[in-house]
Amino acid sequence: MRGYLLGRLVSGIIVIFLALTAVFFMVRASGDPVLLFAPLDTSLEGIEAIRERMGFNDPLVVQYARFIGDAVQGDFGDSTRERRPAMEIVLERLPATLQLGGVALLISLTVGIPLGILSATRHGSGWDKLARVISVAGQAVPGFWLGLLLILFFSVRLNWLPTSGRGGFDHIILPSVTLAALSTARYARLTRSTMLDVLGQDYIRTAKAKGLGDRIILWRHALKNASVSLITLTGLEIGRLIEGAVVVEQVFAWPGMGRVTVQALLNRDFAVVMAAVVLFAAMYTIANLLADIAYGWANPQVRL
Amino acid sequence: MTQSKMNLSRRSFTKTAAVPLGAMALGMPVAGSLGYGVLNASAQEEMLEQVVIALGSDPLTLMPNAIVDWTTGIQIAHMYDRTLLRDPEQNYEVGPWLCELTNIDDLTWELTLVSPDITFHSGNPLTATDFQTAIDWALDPANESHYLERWEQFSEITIVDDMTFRIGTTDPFPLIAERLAELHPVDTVLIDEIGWEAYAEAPSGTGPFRFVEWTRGQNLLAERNENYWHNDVNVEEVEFRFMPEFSSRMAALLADELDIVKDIPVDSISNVEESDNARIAAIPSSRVNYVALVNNREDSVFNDIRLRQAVNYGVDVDGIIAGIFQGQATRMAGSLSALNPEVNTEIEPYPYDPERARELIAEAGYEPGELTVTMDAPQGRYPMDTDAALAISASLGEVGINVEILYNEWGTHLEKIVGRNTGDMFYLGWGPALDAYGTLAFLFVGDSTYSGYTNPEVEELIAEATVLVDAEARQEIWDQVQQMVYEDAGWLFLWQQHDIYGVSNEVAWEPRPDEFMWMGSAEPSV
Repeated sequence: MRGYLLGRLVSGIIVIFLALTAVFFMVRASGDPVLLFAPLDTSLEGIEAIRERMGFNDPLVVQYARFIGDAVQGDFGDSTRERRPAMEIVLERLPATLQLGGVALLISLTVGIPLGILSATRHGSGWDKLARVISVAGQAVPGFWLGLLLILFFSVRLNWLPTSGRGGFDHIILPSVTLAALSTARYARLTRSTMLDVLGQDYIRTAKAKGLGDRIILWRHALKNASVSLITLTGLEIGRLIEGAVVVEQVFAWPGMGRVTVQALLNRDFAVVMAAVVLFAAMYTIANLLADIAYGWANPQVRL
Repeated sequence: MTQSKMNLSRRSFTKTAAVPLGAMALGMPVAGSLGYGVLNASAQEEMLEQVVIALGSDPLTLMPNAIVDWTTGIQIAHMYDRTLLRDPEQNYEVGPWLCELTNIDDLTWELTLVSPDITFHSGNPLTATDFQTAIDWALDPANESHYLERWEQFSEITIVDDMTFRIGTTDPFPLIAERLAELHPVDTVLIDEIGWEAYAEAPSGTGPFRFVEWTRGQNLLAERNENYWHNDVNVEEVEFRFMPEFSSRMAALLADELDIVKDIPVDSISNVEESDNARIAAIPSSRVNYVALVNNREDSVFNDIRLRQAVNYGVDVDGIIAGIFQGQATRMAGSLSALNPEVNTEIEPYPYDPERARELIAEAGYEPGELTVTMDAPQGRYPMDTDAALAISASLGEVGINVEILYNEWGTHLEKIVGRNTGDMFYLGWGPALDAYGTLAFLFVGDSTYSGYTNPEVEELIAEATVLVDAEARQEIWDQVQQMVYEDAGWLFLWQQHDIYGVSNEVAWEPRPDEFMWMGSAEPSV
């Protein structure tokens, strides 16, 4: 187990390093950051002086070496716009993203899995059809559009919920539902197909023959075996929820990492983008590690 | 945290007995005709509990005199007064605010505080030293202030007494009033106590609102300064709420969560007007839009004046304003907007004359449809810019010039302009532009980066004007410059964009053409 965790730690560091390297060169290919924060009436000499001072005139390789050298010491540089440490800017947004992603994951699990079970156990019924329509719709509707639709209906028309921002419980309902829509659909579909498969197995038939109740067969035997696939999906979904937060946080003005990253990208605030990439990559790596550990619980044949 | 206001009583007014605070009530001298609607007695009896303004992003800093950024500046301006201010009742020329400006000689200017009783939110009195501290901080290269370049002509600050100081300049500097309209004095006594870093986190200015709290990514709160020196403030609290998406801001306005939203697109005006909560408040902005006809590159087709003129005759600018902008833009005749106090009022816009355009194109040696040019245009930077670029292209197509449009994300657009890698034409806005110098001397000299138009005679005249302190003599030169750029068809002269705001029906507030969104003068609607 210890060896496995050590291996995953090393591979996680490699993932983060590769992500950093790729993003470092990609964001620099997007253009000159100085033009976007210097006032428009700054002289060309002034712009050149800023570039020089910030090291943007150095060869890319030199900039990269300097960045990596600082990054391994935990220094991701200062935001060119806010003039304070980039990691500080991203870290102060982390709780909001974790909160939104956590609630969305909770919604996905508590709605998606029961929906899938309902659909599987009542295969071919009206419930099944309804669950499938919901699943397809959840996967087909873009988050951006769904978010605006929910705002227009629940906030503008009904005036039930706030349109945006982070505050009380009511503030998180619309963004988390929007973010959870796709995950819920995916959980429902996977649960349905896995459960249909499991429910057709011989051991389920045997359990029925032994006279076990439907509830015990479903929860103790069928769902536990189906859970390996769901754990795999959860590892992936956590990553997708982080990715989805980028859009949802914009629409709902949710002050999380996704929004700060989009703003940094639009403003070519490279240091903030790089700090965000590190955190996103770390979160993704940790989520997958937790999923792997959970395999061992769900299936003792898996030895870490 | 008071983010959710939808169920609270923000909309209800606080009935408050008029408290005779402020400069007028105390009989203090005030700065002439300041144009901020000195409040009458009946207005003082009612108070708005809160005004919520949506902005696209947080301030980049709360340190005044550091960063030139509209969003940052608007928030700082609620907490910090400016030294001088544009006066709407004086055609938006720069006039007194905290100080009055007097010209001593070509290289010396004197500033005198308009009142001895102005205090910072900390309670410390405002003195001449506070201006010196602010300027010294901005001019220290270590602080990397954007104002370093703007104020680099300030060579010496001399304190005469607590009420008076002088600024010496390296050269005659007629733009000094405009530059001092950007200067916010800082609380020197407090800074000495707590240091600059702490001061930036907990600002203390002399403005109409006192800083309360900044929750990054969410909002900034400021409360009424009941001792505001200039007028009684009729808003208990102002909240700047940070919402990056326009559609979210629009929804929040319609849901009655916001009071003021800037930059309502023309095609969304009816949504606001049809709502029960808000109205449209639009005003011609001093920001001008133009299409540069690049003549500062050797290979440019627009080195030929006939083609530049043909473009001006060939584009139906009035038709575009009436159609695409639904009238929400004001035609520009020359290179300055009609709002600019230094505009040459003799200049008339080029008439729409497609026949004349075709003749000029033929004289330049092109058959109809033979000439193809490229135009770079931004997407979403200026009102209706995408549609306007298409319409310009269509107009020119009708007179025989094919235009290929290259739409750019803003950063790329800017980079192409600065790197001089644009096509033959590029679409740009400039402003707020309420003085000739800030437009002509920035756009038509040196590399003419942002105008694409160069003319040595124009440059010579501008060089002459920029060191002339005599306003009348300077105006004569500015008139000549504008006439030359017009006759030379330096640009395709387009329009002043209109700033369109969605404003809550319960807030009495009118926008200004210089984009100065200030709640110090807001009142409850009657």
